Amino acid sequence: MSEKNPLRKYLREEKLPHFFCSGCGCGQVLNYFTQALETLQMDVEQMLTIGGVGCTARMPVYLKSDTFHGVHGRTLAWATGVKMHQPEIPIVIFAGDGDLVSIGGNHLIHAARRNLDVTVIMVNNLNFAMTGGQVAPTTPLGSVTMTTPYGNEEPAFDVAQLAMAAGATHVERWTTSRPVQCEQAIRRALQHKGFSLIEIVSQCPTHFGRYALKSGDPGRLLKWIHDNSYPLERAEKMSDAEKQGKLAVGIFRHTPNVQGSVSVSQRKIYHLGDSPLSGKCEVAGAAASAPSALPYPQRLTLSGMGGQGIILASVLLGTAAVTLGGLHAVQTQSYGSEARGGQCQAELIIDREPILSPVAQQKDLLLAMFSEAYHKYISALKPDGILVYDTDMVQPEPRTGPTFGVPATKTAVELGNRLAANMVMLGFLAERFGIISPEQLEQIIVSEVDERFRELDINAARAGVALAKKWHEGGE
Amino acid sequence: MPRPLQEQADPKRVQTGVHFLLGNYALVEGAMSAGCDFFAGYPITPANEISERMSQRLPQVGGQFLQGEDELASIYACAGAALSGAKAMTATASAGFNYMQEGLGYCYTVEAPVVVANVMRTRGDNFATHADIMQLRYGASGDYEAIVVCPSSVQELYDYTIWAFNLAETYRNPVIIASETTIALMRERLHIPQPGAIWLQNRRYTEKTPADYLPFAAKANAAPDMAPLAKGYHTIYSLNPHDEAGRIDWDPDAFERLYKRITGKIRENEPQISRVNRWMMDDADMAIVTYGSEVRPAREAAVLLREEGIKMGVVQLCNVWPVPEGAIREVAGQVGHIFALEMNLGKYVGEIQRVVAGKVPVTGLTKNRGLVHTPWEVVQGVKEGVRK
Repeated sequence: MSEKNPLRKYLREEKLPHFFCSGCGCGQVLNYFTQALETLQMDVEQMLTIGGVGCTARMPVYLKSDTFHGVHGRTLAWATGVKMHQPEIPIVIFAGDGDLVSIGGNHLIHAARRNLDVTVIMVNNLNFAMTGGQVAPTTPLGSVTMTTPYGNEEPAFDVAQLAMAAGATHVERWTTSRPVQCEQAIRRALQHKGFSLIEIVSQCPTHFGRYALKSGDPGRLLKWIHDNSYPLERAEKMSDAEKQGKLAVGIFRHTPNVQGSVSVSQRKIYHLGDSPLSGKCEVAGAAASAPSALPYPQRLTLSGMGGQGIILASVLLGTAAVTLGGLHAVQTQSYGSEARGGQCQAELIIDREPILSPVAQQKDLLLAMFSEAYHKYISALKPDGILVYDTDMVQPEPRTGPTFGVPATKTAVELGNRLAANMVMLGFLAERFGIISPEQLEQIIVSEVDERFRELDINAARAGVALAKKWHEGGE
Repeated sequence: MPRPLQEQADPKRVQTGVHFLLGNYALVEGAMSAGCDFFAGYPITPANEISERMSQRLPQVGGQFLQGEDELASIYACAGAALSGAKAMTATASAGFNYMQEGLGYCYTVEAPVVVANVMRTRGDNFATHADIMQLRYGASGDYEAIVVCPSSVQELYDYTIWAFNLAETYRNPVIIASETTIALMRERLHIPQPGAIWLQNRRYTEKTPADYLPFAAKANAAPDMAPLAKGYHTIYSLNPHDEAGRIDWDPDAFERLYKRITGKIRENEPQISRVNRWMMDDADMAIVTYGSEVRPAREAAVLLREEGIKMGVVQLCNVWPVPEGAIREVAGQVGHIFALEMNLGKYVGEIQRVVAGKVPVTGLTKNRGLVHTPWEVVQGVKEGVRK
């Protein structure tokens, strides 16, 4: 009795014999891979191997590793998640050409771009084999397959060039007819830190061989593959005609790390405050108790044009009411294209109790800082509701309800920046209607507004308060 | 190191206090409190604020953020991260959720606990809708059961996100947060409790050696224990039918056993999973049964109807999948007429009718105009329904 193959220790014995067709190259590649493991003394049980769908994708199922399997084309997406969470787990992906560059092509170029630290072994059998021999993006021009009965009219992908263009840091192509080179290539890939792609052009006696090459003889197919490839180093001496229709084999790229690329598994950890963008919640206040009397008005529309800070004004008002006033508030706003230029609006409802319906049919107060916005939203204001408008921007129709013209933009311009008109209005609203107090308004400006605008905004708010006080004393 | 089965929230992740916060941000804070440490997503409105805030918040606590090249990359990255031990989450909106169905099918079958936030919207714009309510349940191929929670406010977006992670970990099942434009883009009062008041559930890891470990063997109606990845347990996580040992197996006995278990662990635990909220039900003659932001006008409508002498109550289904069948049957035993209120042209009403089984009339109140019902629309719909 012959001695047991020592490489079987890497396999799930109970899964054998494997399901590959007689003469298929997948068995050879599995052999090269386990040889590489043996040479490097790597423990397959401490690895994750991944296969998608297809003949090649079945290879990891025979390995005694943890394995993800059974979804077409998503091998690299899985690997990205694992590698980001547990960068130290070695990952090897076995993918056919259909899996990797047809359905999974987008993931391939992005994993290469990110220099994801994985080894991809692509067995290129030049067609979709498991499904019965259909054309693939790697099928040579002119080949007859089950879906190109008149010959393939599309040029084939050069997968190695594709991966390099996308940023892969280790790329080799070999053929099953070069066993020693294949095993060495896999070893280099397993030791490479970054994205490796080893493409192994392989024979498919059952489909591509029979349909395209008119032979199911593995030996003849192996010879065809060998004859239709040439070593990279010989390329310079060959004419274009000699290279026509043939694939170069060799080491295309082998760099520890391409300049400018960052492996996703090497991302930094940031700390609170590192980000120039605010990561905090907008003011965490203690749960203040609500005042016993309901503030009036409760249902407000703040409107104007994009860039006037209408949304910010509504957020400051709501934040002060909730975090400082102990009230409930609901704010909704126009978003998308509407909020970028043109008129915009924010709706705010303030109440002592939780607010249910988020949309009020009839408004108690309309703030209008832009003519178009005034015309759009005035119809939703109750007849006896309050209209507050910017005297420089809006000319309202005569009405019977309380109406306040506030020179907000003019006042802001006098203070040095017309963009502070929203704060003039907030000062006016706070002083005149008591939704929040002027003190609460200043407090919220200090905690919420960018430091660069804080002084201006506080001055503008105070100017608004002064305008409202003047009103108390006898009109505009 | 695997997390303990139960633990309190990490104080470094919890921003205790009262906030006035955007719904999408509240969801992120819920995920942060729940221990989420991996997020992958692809840009789409109105879910972008989730990705944006995640990209700020996760790196502050050692978590990982990925902007995937598409929705498929995002959901599968979550699957990979979840199987390697992470509490993983993605967020998308209706059209993007379509793409994620494929990856969700994988997660159901290999029992990967991922949380997916779907901010439902109309095609091509951000109008509010409940049109996805069936695709949340039935989108992927294969036999499986979904868990879908439906928050109705900014506070519930925070609370239910923690609940979603706890359910995902308990049942090793994807859990979907059915958010919607109404609440996702709304700012509202949010109270974040002290970390000590937030209890988290984590997946159970095996105590067995690799030789004794069967990755997909579990007690009846329970999730199997997990093993750490790449630590000698050589588990195959395949979408293909597999037996208790994880071997790909097309023996009908083996795969029916698998499908029975992954559906059974949700179906049989429906009473443990389901939550409902009830208002004005003690003396109700009729009830509005609803979910998501429609709860809000429903409660106002009930008050208005009571002013006119119609004793209406409201029942909120906090989860729509699995269907809270016991709670719905109880409502049917209590009132004479049920109104199913939803923001689509009539989808979930069919589930309520199935459970009620003709015991009392069930009338659908539908709307698909990009906005939640107004209370007056609900009042009018109820009156018309009563007359019929």
